[in-house]
Amino acid sequence: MRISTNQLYNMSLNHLSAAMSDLADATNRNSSQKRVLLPSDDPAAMAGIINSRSFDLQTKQFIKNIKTATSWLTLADGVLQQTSTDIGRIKTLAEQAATGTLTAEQRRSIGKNLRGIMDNLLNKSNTEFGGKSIFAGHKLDTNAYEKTLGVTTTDPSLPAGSIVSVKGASEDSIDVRFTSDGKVGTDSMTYKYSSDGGKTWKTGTLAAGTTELDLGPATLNLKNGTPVKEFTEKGEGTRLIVRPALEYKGDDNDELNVIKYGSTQVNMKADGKFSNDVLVRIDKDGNVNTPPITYSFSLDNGNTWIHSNVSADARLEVPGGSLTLSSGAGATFLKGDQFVIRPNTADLKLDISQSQSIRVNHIGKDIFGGVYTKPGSTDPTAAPEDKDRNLFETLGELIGYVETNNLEGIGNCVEQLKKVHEHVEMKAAEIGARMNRASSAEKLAEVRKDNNTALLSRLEDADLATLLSELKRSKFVYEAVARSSKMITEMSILNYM
Amino acid sequence: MLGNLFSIGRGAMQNAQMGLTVHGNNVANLKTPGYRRRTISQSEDCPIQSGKWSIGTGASIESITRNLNLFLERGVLDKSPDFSRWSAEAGNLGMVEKFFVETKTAGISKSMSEMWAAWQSLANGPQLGARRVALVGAAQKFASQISSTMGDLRRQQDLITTHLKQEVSKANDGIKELAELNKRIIANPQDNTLLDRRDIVLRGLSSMVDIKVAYEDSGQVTVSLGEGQKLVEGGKAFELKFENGGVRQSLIPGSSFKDDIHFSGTSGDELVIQVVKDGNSSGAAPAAQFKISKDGGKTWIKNPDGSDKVFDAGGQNEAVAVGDVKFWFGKKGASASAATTALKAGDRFTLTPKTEVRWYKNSSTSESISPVSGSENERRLRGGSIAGLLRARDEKIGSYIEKLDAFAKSIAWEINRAHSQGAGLVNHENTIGTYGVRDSSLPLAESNLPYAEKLASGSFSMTFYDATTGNKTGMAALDFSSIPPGKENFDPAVHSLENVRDAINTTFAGKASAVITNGKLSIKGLNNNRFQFSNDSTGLLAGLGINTFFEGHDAASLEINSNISDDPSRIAAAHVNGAGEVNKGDNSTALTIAQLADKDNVGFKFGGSSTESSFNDFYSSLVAKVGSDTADAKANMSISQTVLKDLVDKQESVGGVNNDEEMNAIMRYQQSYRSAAKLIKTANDMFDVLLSLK
Repeated sequence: MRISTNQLYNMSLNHLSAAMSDLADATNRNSSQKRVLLPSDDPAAMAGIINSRSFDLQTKQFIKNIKTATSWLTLADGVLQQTSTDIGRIKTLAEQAATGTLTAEQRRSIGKNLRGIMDNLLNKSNTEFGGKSIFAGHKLDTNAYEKTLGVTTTDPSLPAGSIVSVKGASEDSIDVRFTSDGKVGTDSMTYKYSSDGGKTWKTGTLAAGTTELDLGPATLNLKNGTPVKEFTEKGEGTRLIVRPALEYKGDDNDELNVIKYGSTQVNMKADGKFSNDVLVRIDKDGNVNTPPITYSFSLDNGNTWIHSNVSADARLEVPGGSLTLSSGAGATFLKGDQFVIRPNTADLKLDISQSQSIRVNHIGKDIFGGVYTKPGSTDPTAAPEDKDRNLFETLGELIGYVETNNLEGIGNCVEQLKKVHEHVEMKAAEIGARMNRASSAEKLAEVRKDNNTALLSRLEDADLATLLSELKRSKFVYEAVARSSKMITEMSILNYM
Repeated sequence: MLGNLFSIGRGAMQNAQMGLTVHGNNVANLKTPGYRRRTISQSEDCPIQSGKWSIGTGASIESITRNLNLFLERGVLDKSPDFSRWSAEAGNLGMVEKFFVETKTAGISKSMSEMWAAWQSLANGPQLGARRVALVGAAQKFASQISSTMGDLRRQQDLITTHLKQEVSKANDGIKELAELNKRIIANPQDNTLLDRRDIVLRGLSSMVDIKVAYEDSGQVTVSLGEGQKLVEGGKAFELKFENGGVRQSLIPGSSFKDDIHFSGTSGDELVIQVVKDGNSSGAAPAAQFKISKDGGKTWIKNPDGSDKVFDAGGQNEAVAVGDVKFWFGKKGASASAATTALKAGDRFTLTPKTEVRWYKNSSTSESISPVSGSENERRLRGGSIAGLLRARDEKIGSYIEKLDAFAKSIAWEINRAHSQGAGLVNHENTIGTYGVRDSSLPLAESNLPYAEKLASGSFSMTFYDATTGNKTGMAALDFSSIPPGKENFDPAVHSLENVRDAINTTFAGKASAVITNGKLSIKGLNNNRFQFSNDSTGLLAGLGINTFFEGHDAASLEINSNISDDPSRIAAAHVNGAGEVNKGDNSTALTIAQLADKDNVGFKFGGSSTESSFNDFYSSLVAKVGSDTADAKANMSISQTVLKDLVDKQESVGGVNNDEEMNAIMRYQQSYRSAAKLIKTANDMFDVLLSLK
């Protein structure tokens, strides 16, 4: 083939620049140690790299979340272990106090001891993690519990809810005994009270038209119309013991609220355990008395819907529970009518993986009990009402009984304490189980992170040996081309003329 | 006989001189671009008859040949458009793919992951101010990454547009020069310099547009585009123009349409609007119906069921949006006035919301030769740098822009939708919407709100708190029963922004008041009332930009809501719970938003089609698309380059100058000059001998 002089030079130049660009490319890869630098190097791998990197960041965040969760839970676990020990001490003291041979004075000293334990437990239930109360539900910024007064009655015939509230503060339990019969608010009645276990008594009069008993440092409010009886030496009649109590100040998970959007007049009620708001939408006009009802529901306030649910009766199943419609001011509903189930929420959850979350805070009253003012009401009541699950109320009553020398009451408390102990142990076990979940989630996350790192490396990292040999080779090629180019361009017929 | 000797010698010397000149010229033009080496063809002169012998009379030069293989040259002209098209695409896409590189510190995906992590981190400590500030920082970084990438893409498009202007004007120069050369060549067909020049210009033109060349017997060339449009015919030059698109009508006979289509926005797509049903274009019933094609009328935008989607014609309020472009019918020159004439089935409009290259047959007749995205159409450029640049700008970068916009639009919506339901650490005294409507009396579903189509029926609740004590003072759902048709729930197809305002003022009388300013809704607490929102099943709050996290609705405008960047305590990590409380330790909304990172059915709508995936998958597939487009362009460039280089090389091998060869020829001619001189000297000596005989 004929070769022109230009061709000769161009060829050398092209080869040189091709070898040079290979060399530059190899150097580039060598310096970054990456196989894929630009999307066009390997588009599919690049997409994988992006997903893999974001998975890496996400998993790291999950690991952080798990570590935070573990710290919360470890703290709570520690508190409950100590609480369990405290309950043991309370039990021992209660059993001592239940011994008939003890004098009133000795019981009062046990009472002092118990008050000390109560203060101690108050501090424990107010434990904070980095400034956040861990037993106060969502109200992280307030103390979970505050000291207040409670009232115990020994009169089984006193109707429930007769005691409205007790205000004030008293270092000792107050034993209140009515000394005349009557109806609160209607009749004028007399009573006596003692703050030293019955050594000295003061008297007072509840005038007609008032409901408030003046007990010196405290006042006690009774429900209007409550029938009371004179307290006799036999132990019959109305006796009230004002004793210490702890009030839960956090929030709860208990109530379910349902609101409706639309013109329907039906009544609705939700049942179940919901962790977030659930929106229910009616998809066909109808009547609660003539099911089926076609409906959709949404867990994100209507951004996405789960369609085509049909209920055979007026109970609409939704995740977490159900919504029951019943005939109210009207029984019909129209397509498009909506109901929102709005639970009280108090759980602080952290994501520990793409699909799982873990609760890190606690609702104090569900563990320790105490009294609690429900949202919407004005006065606190025992929560939970079941005393077998209410440590603080049991302890409060015990102190009341011990300080007012009530052996029967103390005996009942000893029985209750056993059950309360079981309840607290169970809660501790729950926390332990959650800690286990967190630690296994952490292991899993670490494994996934490592796997992902391996995947990422496979996708983007260059093989060092290949890289180095490629670099050497392109260097060699460049030198060879340069040498041969020099040789070729030097050749000319002019050299021989 | 002796005289013949002189004549032969003289001729030979002349030939040798001519030879030296030609080859000397070759050497001199060694590096002249497009120069084809010349060689001399000699032939023997007519012999004379002497007796029974025929005696030669020397040689003379027959022609000076220009060494060119026409077959190879045709090959070059054929392959060069392919190479320059891919080279233009590869060059520009090579720039574009760099915008999508994820480094250790920057990148859209990375900053998005960091933003999700910041939401998680806020969920870990919802009451902490530092976490909120960190989230604002992460979200700002994410938004600015998106908008700066969008800026880079737009800048690249502008660069291409500037480049296109130059290329089109270069092409026009070439076309004009060819017409001029044609005129001169017909007068002097043997002028090798003109022919060299013509071949250079042809090669230059073939790198800008794909051309077909017909070599006429007269020596002239007729040049047309590969798609048939003539560029040069004899001495006549046609013109290409780079100009703004717009709307072009092609009405069928009998159509009474006298109005026009108006549009806003820009896009890489050229839309064909084909009327399929007679009717009004004003928006009044019966409305004319039309379908839309993005590939020059080959396929039409489809319904989800696969049938062609049919749109109703109407005025500005009924504008049809395709990607970033909205268009509507109106009076000629007055976009806001309704059209008055009717459309007829068969009327066709071409809407080009971008600059384009057109071929002018004469000053009044022209047609677009810009390639149509996604297909190879007849009579549209297929090769050359102009086609490559247009494809890179409109089809490739244009589609990246649409996807990035869709990405930004969906992420703002999803986060805002969740955020607008939540509650921050402070109760609202006053909220101002960030999205406005042009006409506040229009049903919101038909308004120009960016998220109008997302609105649904339902309601939302407002909970009020005393400004001083923070205690709850009331809670109620927004009630539209005071607004015709008297239904409690909001209905986007019925209720306008004014209705929403009136419903708020009636439902929450004495507690909150709503006003519309500049088409945006703002709500204010009255009488010492502060408020929070919850359970918005309509999407109204997110759609109007109330209590939202982001403002803006596309990649360029996406930014964090200024209310939130001013005061991060407004970030809604909590929600109004069943008891009507907003608690500092509530992280439910933050968690809901953080979990959007894994939502795998987020809807993305771009340029008439839509898809569902997670944010990360959508974005990484966009990057993969950019990467594979670039890799394709690079591969095609390298294939076409190999083919073209081979042809150019072969032509060079035929017509290029070789110094050694020229030296050889020069020496040869030098020798023959010397020999011829010797011949004359010999003849002279002989002549002397002859004269000395006397």
